Amino acid sequence: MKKYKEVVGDGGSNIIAQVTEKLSALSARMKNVKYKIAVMSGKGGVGKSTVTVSLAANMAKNGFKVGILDADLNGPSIPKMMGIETAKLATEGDGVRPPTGAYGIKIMSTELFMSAHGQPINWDGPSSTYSWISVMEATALRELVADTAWGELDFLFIDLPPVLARFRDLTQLLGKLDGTIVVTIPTGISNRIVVKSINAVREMGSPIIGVIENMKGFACVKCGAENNPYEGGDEMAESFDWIGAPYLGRVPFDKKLLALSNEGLTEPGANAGGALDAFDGINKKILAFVGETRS
Amino acid sequence: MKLLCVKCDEAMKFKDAEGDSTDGSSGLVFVCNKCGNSFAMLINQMEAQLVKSLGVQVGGRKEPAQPMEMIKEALVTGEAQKPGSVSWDGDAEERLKKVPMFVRPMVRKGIERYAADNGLSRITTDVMDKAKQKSGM
Repeated sequence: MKKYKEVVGDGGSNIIAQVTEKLSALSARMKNVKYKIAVMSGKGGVGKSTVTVSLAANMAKNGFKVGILDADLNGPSIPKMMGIETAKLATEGDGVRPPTGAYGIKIMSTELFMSAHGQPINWDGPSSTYSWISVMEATALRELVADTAWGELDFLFIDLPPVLARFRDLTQLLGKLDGTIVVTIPTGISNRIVVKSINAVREMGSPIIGVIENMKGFACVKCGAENNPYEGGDEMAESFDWIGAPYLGRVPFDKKLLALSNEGLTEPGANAGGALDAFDGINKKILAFVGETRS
Repeated sequence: MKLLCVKCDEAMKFKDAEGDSTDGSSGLVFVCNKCGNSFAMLINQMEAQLVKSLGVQVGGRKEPAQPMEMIKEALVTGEAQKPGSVSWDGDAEERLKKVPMFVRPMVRKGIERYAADNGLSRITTDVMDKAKQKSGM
């Protein structure tokens, strides 16, 4: 009896050909995207989406063409933070045109398909088992990347959920990313989990740009004195350097960033404008990492 | 997946697929071009769903795939709020504004659903209280 490898072709089921075609379409779409940067953590609640929007806005303010892919399929927050939650989607050629937010940033997210924004993300299918859901989510992620008419972009920032599985899906789809930014907050438990994520990213062969320490201190609104509600001082920079994940910088608490959650980012003289300046230095390091000479 | 006719030691060819809309199962028919025997592989709802989740169709597509096809077909997007089906009193609107922003659309929808279920076309603060009491809000 013949073995699997001795039977040529798929007998006409055409599944492999269709999957290959879809991956080719994805690859063609990504050819116009210069740098694909993932923003992840492994830990929830550290401000990944806020950091993603801020990095993207700061980059776009400096003249780069920027897109954000909201890869947090089940907890999408980018459309709200970019103030385009109710934008309508339209098909453009072989893709869906992404709505644009402040500074011309293009956005795609599962949230943009929802009619009822308070409703959780659910997939229509047999309810007796959810074994197919991870496949469904991986396919949804592929469609969000490949079926969005991104056009030419300098940077595509990809906002990931805390679960590492989505990062795996992403790297399987896109291959090697141009870089990964890991977000932490100044607590022992966050840093402990983030170290695991850094190791996992490295095992998957994706380059790590570095670590951003979010919510690191705040200036008293009355006297201007620096405060740090969390433990630890400035030793984190050196600690992350030891494990080969450069410390990109700290982002202090800033009430202006709350505007992102409440009303979404606006321009010009953006409502979160001053707060975005904290990302100037970080973005310079990202540009240096990817080898981009424009600044 | 490849299918082999054991008698002829030949690869079988896909012939047809037929879905059963009553239970979501499917039958995939394969034929051996040498001996002419055919057989059907019957897959249950979950197995059919797994293939569908890949965004592919067994046997190939008759129509080209549309952008975001799987998301548009399978994502449960919820009910769009129908504007103007009920009206809100000024006092009721003001009270709703005091509800935190992150739950306000859900609260609005719940109250409007209560009003519709009870044949009310106007939402007052009294209707809000009754809706709140009923839903345990």
